[in-house]
This record gives sequence, C-alpha cells and structure tokens, in this order.
Amino acid sequence: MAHSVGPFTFEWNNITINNVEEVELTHEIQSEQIPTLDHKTLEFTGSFAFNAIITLAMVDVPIIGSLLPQFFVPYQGIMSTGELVVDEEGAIDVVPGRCDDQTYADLLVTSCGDPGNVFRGVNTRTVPEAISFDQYRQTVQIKFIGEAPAGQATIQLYRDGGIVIAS
Amino acid sequence: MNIVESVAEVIENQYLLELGIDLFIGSSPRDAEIPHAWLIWGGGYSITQNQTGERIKNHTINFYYRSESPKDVYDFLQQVERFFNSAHCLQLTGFVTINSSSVVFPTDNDIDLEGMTIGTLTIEIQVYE
Repeated sequence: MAHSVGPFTFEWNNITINNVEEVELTHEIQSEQIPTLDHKTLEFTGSFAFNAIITLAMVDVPIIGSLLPQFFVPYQGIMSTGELVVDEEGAIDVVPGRCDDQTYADLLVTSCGDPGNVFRGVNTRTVPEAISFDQYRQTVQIKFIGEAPAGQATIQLYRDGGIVIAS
Repeated sequence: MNIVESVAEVIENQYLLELGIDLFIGSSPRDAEIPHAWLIWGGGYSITQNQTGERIKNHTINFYYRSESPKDVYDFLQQVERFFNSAHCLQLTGFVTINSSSVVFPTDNDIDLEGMTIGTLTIEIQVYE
C-alpha cells in the first residue's frame, strides 16, 4: 500500500468538500480496567466511537447548506424567525431540537495518488461545531458524528477501488 | 492577469493613473512624463496549505513614485499607504484576496541624479488559491 500523502480529497453525501484547512479525527474506544486478586490489571474493551471535526477555510451559504442540509432553508423558504428567503443561494437556520431531517453518509478522505488510500468514517451525520472570525476571514467547523449500524465498522481503510459491493 | 497587473488596476482606478502613461510595470521609461509611478514584483511565499491543497500566498509588490516635488512624493505615498492599510474590502481581479497591507512605509529613495525625488513603499497582498 502506498503512503497516504496529501493533498487529500474529502467527500460526504456525494459532495466534494474543498477548502479544508484542518481536520481533527477522533476514534475512541471505551475501556475499563479491572484489578484482579492475583495483582494483575485486565482491560476490557467496550464501545467504539468516531467523529471528525473539519475546519473550512472559505465558506458561503451553499457550502454550509450542502454539509448541514437539515439546517438549510432554500430560496422561497421560511426562516424560523419568520422571514422569507429571497436569495437563490438560500440561507442557514440552525434550529435546535430538529432530528427528523438528519442526513447520514460516509465521510471519505482519499489521499493523493492513483490509486489513493481511502479512510472511511461509516454512516456519519453532521452538526455545526463552531464558527470563528479573525481580522481576515471567517471559518466554520462542521462535526461529522459516526453512527454505524450494529455489526458495521466505525472506520475503514482501503485502497481506492479496492472494495466492491458483494453480490 | 498576474498579481502585479491586478494591483496596477487598483492603483489606476484609485488614483486615476493610466498604465503606460504615468503608471508602469517592471521599470520606468526614461521619457515618461513627470510625475509617474511604477510597480516591481518583489517575490512572495506560501503561508499555509490546506489539507485539500489550497494555499494562502503572500505577494510583495514594490511601488515607486517619482516627482520633482518631495512633498508631492510624500503626500502621494502616504495616500497609497493609508489606502492599502485601511479597512476596505479589496478584491483584486483574478484573485481571492484575503488581505492587503503596506508593511514598509514610504521612504525617500532619492538616488535620482536628475533633481527628482523617488519614494517607495512595499505592498503585501495575501491571496487564496
């Protein structure tokens, strides 16, 4: 397997995510350490959890809307505050408590090369993590939370083109 | 359009100079009318690179202004310095512009032997590509 080097291609829900300034991947495995009477420590592995926080360097409403579809208000839609959206690019309306419109998709990070190496975060949903401003520009952080179904992996690694749907 | 041409376009529009008449790129013709200005590309470097390959780049452009009157040189360059250091929303043609600034303030570079005063300042442009 060739080394995974950048630049990397990020993809979620068939959307190529450009302008990724930074990414923080976390894969946590819950564990519990139990001391035994014969003076050993046993570690028991529990649940796995995956998430990724991506910082986007150049953002506008369509980009954020594609990654947070549950909070996107299209042209002619109504904001939670009552306004009508009259811009064809739409608007973002982060209303807490919404859970019906959640989009799930794999987060794919493919390295440079032909073929590249793929990192896959299985079945992730997105939430807005943070927004920041400095004197030059705004950045937005989107968190991808993995919720793999029972029996499926939380994360996977393979060479691009190296897996196909089993018939 | 390269970065120097884009900066020249801004200066043309802001100060009503005309490229080829009283504003030049790369050098100053001997027979150019007085006063006049010229821009010389001073290099640059890549500041940061994204995970997806895009970069923030810093370009340096040296700006020169020649006039018979030292006061004219000082006044004009101070205007240029204030413009590039002001809180404006400057977007250069062909470039996603993050920031512009004048980081080396005007100096009297009176190396001209023809009784002229030449002033210079450095303009730095950060672009995202």
